[in-house]
Amino acid sequence: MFNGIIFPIIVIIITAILTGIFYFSRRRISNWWFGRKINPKIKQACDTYQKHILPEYVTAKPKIEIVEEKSEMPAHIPFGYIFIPKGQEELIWDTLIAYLPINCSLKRIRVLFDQSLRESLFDVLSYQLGMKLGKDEIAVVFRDSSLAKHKDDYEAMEKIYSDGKLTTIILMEASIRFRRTGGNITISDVDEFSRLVRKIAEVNAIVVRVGKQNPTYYSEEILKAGRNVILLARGRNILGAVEIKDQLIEKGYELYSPDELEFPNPETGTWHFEGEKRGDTAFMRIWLRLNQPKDNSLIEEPNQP
Amino acid sequence: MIELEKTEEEVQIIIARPEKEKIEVALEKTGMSKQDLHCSICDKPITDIKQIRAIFPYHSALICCDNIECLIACRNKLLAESNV
Repeated sequence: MFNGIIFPIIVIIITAILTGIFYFSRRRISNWWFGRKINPKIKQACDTYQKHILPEYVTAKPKIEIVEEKSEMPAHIPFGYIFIPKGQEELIWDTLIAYLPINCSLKRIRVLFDQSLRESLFDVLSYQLGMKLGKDEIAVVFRDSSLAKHKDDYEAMEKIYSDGKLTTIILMEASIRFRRTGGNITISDVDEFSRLVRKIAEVNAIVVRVGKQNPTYYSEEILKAGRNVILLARGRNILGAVEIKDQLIEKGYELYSPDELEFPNPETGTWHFEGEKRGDTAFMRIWLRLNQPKDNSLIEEPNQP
Repeated sequence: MIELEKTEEEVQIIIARPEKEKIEVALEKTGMSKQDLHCSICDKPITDIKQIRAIFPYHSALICCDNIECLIACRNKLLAESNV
């Protein structure tokens, strides 16, 4: 009989203790759960952006902190506060897709883009990030909103991005110009650079980074693609790029004129690297156009009725 | 990596639940009153604090509601600030 009473009492006591612990720790548990829900999403978005959307270019990432208690709110003024209601943690996605790109690098050089191009650039990056994260319904809002506002510039930036010219040409060029101006960007710098960006988008060309392969290999691949081409080379690979250019010219390609491009062709300059490969390296870009066939005799005439 | 990027400073973003005390702290830093809250973009009155999605303490402060179009417009306003 004693055993029959003691057991339920022990169960009741344990239950009461657990309930008490849970009751008094409920806020702590709730906060822990909030962090557990939000942190993986932040990491996924940051990693995806850094590895897939703007590879090799994201060196500065935002410091995103989850604040659980009022006392943890920073004393200084942060860049911004984002609020996610309890149980609606999925709402973090649209905020991350909107604000992550503007806080990852590009912070200074973006002033070289005029307003419309700048917004289009980040709309493209947000769209790409949203799609890569599998948040298609959010991604298309960025694209559609941008198309409604500045269709031509969105299409230009999208073309530049999909042709691989964003990091290889545009951002590199912006960095070089930013350094050249010492950070004092004038309106005419913005106008001139934005005009260049739009022009680069117009040039329907693939970008080929010249590496250690035999120049003939690159020439053959370019001829197979049958498109205009921008050759990028640095350091010792510059000689290879010149050889590829000569081979392509023999096969019917021609150099874009500097008047058309509004800059010299080939372009030469210096890239500045940091980290393990710290130092200056000479680079060259060569813009080549596939000549349109002048002999139309191979085009069949339609049969006359 | 190009040298320019090295000098960039990381920005701090705070993520929190929309609770009265936390929103008050965020608004205090911007010198804004917690009364009469409106979305800075669509001007919709924010009657429930759960509708506040973001606060950016720049100049007169940007308060953004939970509409994605407002998030984008708010980002564009931040982009217009060269130092943001």
